Amino acid sequence: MTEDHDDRNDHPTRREFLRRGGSAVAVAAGATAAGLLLYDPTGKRGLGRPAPLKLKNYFASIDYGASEPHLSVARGRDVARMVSAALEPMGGMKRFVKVGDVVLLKPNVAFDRAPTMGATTSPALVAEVARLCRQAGAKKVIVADNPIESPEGCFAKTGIGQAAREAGAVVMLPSASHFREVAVRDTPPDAGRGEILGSWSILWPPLAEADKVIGLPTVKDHNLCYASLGMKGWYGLLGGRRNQFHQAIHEIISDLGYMISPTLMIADGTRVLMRNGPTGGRLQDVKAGNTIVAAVDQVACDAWCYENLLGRDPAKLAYLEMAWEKFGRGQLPHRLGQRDWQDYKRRGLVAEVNV
Amino acid sequence: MPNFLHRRTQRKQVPVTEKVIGAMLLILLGAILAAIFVTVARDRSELFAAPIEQAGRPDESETQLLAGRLLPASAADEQWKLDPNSVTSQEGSEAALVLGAVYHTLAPTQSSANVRIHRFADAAAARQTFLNYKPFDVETAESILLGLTGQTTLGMEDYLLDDKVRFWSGRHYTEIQYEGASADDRAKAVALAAALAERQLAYGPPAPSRKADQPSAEQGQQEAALGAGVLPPPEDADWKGPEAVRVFGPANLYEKINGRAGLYFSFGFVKLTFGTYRHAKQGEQYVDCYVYDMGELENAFGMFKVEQGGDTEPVQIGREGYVAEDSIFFWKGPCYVQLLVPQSGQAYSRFVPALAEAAAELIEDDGRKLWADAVLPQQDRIDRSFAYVRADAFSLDFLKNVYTAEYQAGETTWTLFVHRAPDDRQPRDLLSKYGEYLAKYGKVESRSEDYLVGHVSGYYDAVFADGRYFAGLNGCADRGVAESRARALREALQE
Amino acid sequence: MRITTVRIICQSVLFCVFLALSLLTTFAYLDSLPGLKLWLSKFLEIDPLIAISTAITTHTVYKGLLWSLVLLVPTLFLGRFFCDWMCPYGSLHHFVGWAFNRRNTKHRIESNRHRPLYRFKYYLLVALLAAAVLGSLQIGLLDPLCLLHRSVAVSVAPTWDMAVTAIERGLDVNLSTWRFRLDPGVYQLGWVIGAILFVLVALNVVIPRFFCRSLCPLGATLGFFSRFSLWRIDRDPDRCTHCDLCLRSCEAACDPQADLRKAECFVCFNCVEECPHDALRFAFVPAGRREISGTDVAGRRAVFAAVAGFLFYPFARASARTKRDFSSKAIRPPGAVEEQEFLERCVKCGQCMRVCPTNVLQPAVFEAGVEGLWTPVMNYRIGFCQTSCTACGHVCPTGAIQHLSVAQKLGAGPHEQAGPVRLGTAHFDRGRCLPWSKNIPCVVCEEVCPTSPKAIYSERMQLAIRDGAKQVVAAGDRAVTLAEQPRPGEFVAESARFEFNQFAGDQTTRYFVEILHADGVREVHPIASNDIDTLLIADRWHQTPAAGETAVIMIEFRVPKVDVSRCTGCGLCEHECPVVSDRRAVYVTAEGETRSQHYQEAGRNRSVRLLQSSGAS
Repeated sequence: MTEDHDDRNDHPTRREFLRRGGSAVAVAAGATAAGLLLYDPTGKRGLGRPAPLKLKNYFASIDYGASEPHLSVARGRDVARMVSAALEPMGGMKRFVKVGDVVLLKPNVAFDRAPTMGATTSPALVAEVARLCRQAGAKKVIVADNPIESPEGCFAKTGIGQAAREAGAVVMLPSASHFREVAVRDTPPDAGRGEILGSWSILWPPLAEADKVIGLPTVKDHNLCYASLGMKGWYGLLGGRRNQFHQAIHEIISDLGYMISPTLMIADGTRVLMRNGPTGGRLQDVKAGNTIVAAVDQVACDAWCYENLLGRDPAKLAYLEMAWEKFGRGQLPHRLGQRDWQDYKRRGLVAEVNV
Repeated sequence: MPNFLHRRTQRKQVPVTEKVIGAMLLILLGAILAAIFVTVARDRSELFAAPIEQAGRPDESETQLLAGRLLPASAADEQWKLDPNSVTSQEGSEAALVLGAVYHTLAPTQSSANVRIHRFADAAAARQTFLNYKPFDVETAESILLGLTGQTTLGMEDYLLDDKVRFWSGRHYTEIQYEGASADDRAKAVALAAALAERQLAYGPPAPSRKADQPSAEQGQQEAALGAGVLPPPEDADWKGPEAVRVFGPANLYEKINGRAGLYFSFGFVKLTFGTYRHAKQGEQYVDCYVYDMGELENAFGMFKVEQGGDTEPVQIGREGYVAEDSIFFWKGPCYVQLLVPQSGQAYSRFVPALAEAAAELIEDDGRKLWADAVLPQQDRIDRSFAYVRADAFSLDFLKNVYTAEYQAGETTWTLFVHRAPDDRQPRDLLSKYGEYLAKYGKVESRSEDYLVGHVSGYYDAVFADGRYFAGLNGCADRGVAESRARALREALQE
Repeated sequence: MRITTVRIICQSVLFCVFLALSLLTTFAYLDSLPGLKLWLSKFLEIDPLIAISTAITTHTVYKGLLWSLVLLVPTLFLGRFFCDWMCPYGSLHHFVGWAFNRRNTKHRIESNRHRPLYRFKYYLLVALLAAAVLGSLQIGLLDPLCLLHRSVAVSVAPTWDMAVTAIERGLDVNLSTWRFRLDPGVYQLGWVIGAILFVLVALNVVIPRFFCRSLCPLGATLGFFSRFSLWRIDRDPDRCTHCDLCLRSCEAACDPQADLRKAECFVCFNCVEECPHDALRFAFVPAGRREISGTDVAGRRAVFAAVAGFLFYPFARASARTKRDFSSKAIRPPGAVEEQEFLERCVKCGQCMRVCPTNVLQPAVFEAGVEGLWTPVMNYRIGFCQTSCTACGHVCPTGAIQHLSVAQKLGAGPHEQAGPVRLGTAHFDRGRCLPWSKNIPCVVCEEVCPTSPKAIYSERMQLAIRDGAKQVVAAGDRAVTLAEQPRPGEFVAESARFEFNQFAGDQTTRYFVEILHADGVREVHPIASNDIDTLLIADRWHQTPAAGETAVIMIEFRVPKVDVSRCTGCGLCEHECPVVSDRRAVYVTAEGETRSQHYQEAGRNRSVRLLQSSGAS
């Protein structure tokens, strides 16, 4: 075990001395430097979150004229023909989707329900819109939503998953890694003005990748806010503990409209859930609306559907007024938010066609 | 020393360096201990002291709270800025609180505006103050329609005159005096007013509630006494009344019917008994009953005729009556009765006629006929054109107490009238006055001692004085017809 | 003076300093000697393992942890002297070993030879650092200073206080200067921590310096850095006779009789004293071949240890307690950072538990998951969070509990807009609350609620008392005589039997009688007094009760409710609630804690009040 060195010369050489001394000094210096670099004298440096991300305005690149139809209604039974007929007065899908665009379709897949129940978007509509986008030259069509119930089950039962895939679209299921903190508004939200969201955890990858966003809401009754239409549909982009927003439902819906400026809304009025929404579950509650509405103005679209499909007075729907207050008065560029759809009608900006 | 404490060391000698280093290390240890003691002993700072701000902030006085609410730091998108040192508050004479402040603006020109906000106990006082300050020639002022979003009027009333904007809203009355006379300055002042109005709660004085005249027991008895014998009790179980019964004489008739009182006076008004009948279940349904005592049959008849328009539906109540949209008017005896409803409706069409009948029952009528009805010929008379004019018949100030009737034969129309004077002389006077009138405004065609024919603007009048009667024909386009009918009337009178 | 004597003095003095500082970490002493704040955490601050591992998890060196350079740099030159010159735990082991070990020289020499077992601490260190890389700080479990601090706080100090209290009571004397708390602290499952301390120290009897040699991660760290040291114990091979006597008192089992293991040597100088031939000396840069400078660990086993450390993080996080299956009982101290960051910082040193004046901070078992073992959580049955106290933030060495000012904690002055720091929200269990379920008046919770205006407020409620429905027999000017309601079939009802002035009430309780008239009209009047069957009311009847009508006697008292916008979760209500048991009538859960409000991943934002959350964004 013990080695016997008879070597008398056991003083270190200069080189060895410098090497060993130098390494000790180097490590000491390195440790000191690292310590000073990472030094956190107040204790606050180590805390904090990364800066939130920002959404684009998906309507800004469409140069839409003030005299082009803002709302287009098609009535009939064949979904494919209705969609084309609704888009035609507005210039067709190619007006909105350019060659090489990535398009995000946001249908309502919130519940694990068959499509006949009217609680989710009709898969035929999703398929047709996806097909039209591809026809117009879209490079990729994404279908995404963050349902309340299990995503895999919802996309399967509603038929939207299969319809989307058959039409050549990519279904993006929400996973925990997809949610990022996104800044909804630049200033802290003022509760006195009904502002709730400052920044929130949002389903980020499809929104980041998309050049155009098309909302495909279903039209249905809602027990708390009286209707679940286009703006409520953006709830499906929220992550985190979004259930707490039901404490101020009209404020949050108008904030959702503020959060995202979509390229186009195509509302599914083929099967309208008139009662017991938003989950539904009985065929007796579903009425054949036989209508599809295309609109560039999400607030007007909601107002039209509320009045003409659900048969209720949009003047009494609080979140429409709040949405108009937040972004519909022309405060922001490239944002439309006219809640009085009759105004569009008076100006001849509503097209109606039967197929 | 015990065995285990004894340290067995083999080393005999301790090198000097070791001793020195040992000593230095001990000194270092001592220094550390000393440092601990010194810092601990000397540090006297407070770790857990409560912050001074936490120890009770005095409550904002109510005035400060109000000033903070009613006077925004900046108004109209930062165009106006409040000068915080200029805020004053004092008790007003009628107002509970008067807040004063000065606002400054930089564009278009640097100017300031003096704001005074009076806060009253209620909206009625605020409005009264506003009206008190309103100058008479308020038509030159303009209402500027202040409002929350500029779309609806919020301040109940407002106006802008010269360099002042004034408005009242809820319990606040606000005055803004601004500098500058250009349109921009005015627009800025209006914006400031709008910003201030936005912060005031807008509401008006309380509406006079009908429930307020819920009669107490004594009051009900008094009213019943007033209306007894005049206002009938409703026989319909759904209705109750009469309520709010009042009697008006010539002195205070004006209070009830305003300008119309003059007409009633000209027909010899004596007194009005008024009462309301209200539906027991639906309080907004009511019938107002006016019983005018005109003193004489003729007066009631005349008054009834004057108010009766052209197209009315006759109804058999009293001596004569008609119904217009469920309101019923009739006369009987010396009384002229109106039963007025707010709007026509099924509830009324059942109840009001029955009430009218009951009211008519209470009126005494001696049955005396109106003598002139028999005298004026029936032939060619237009239905229900028989009337009584108490004063200024045909706009002639000397012609009073005249019965008239309208006639038509073919295309020709005319009016026959008759006046019975108390003696023989007066008809002659009237005749001569009539002659003067004809001469002045028209032409006298033929004249005799008791007969006169003339025309005014193409219409012939033929009048005569016969005994106590002064009568004749007025307004006929055909002279022949005029003279023949006047003669016929004379003959009828002589019978 | 021999160097070993100096060393013994140093060890003893520093151990006493450590013990004193540890025992003096109380609110009372911090209040009266605020200068202590500089020194209380000093041992933890000079611990390079804490500094390095928190630097790995948080990417910063928090405040006082920079002091670790004071230990690290000399170690780079002098070797692992800390373990036998300064470390209080090392001194404790050294002492126990010296006092209770065998005296036989042969046994002692054999017990101090180096064993392969002693490599284990390096694998342990690698595993712990691997876990830290992913974001889970577990070094506090075995770091000697954290372990000793924690054990003193949770077991030793209460033992001391209990002993002093017992002597005071038994001998009827006042020993308040020797007692560190007004009453001995209690810590949930503290016996486990005390047992671990005892066992580890007792193991010295079997293997000397067992912990220091085979388990101590700090020793492993310092051993790693010792490889660069320029001074070491050097054996002169000419003088050495291979007698192995140097091993007799070798503390570190570092083989001074052969090639010295620099990574193990404690620089205790015992071998220098023991050598009869003066062959050993503390040399400056001696020859490299007679030493083993590195840690001598097998690379593959180190990789295996790293893998184990890496796996710890996902295994622990997949166990739900951190994110989705939040325990609402895991309520953290005021000033605590958000949970995932908390687990990156807390070294489980127990200082906060020691300094807390109300004894509310307790070492968690598994409330916060396996990673949260021995991290501080509030237990409102034992204590409550004192309104203006921020002591825990003052003593936390790593910033797991941030230093709050009192104004910040209360939401006063400049922090009024942000609002107070909330630890949770109180809830009422109406089935257990005395007024709500047992008609017994009690609003102690409202009384002690420290916020202003109070977060617990009470409403007046009138409830029929038991058997309160009676029948009217007769009524007087302001009185009514009652009888019992007739039982089925009874012709004549029994007359009522009250105690005199049973319903007179007092300042907190009032009684009312409600008469239900035959025409359906009800009237309620306060009862002024009563005799055996007649009640006297305090005002007048609107309508005199007639015989046969129903009268109900009601008690009015106040029932408490929580105003969620004001509650800060301090736990005074739960602590004072007279319904003492596992489930109190009012209890606090972690909902609405302000430390989570900005974090939005599923499960983390525990906001129970939406628009009123302070600074919600």
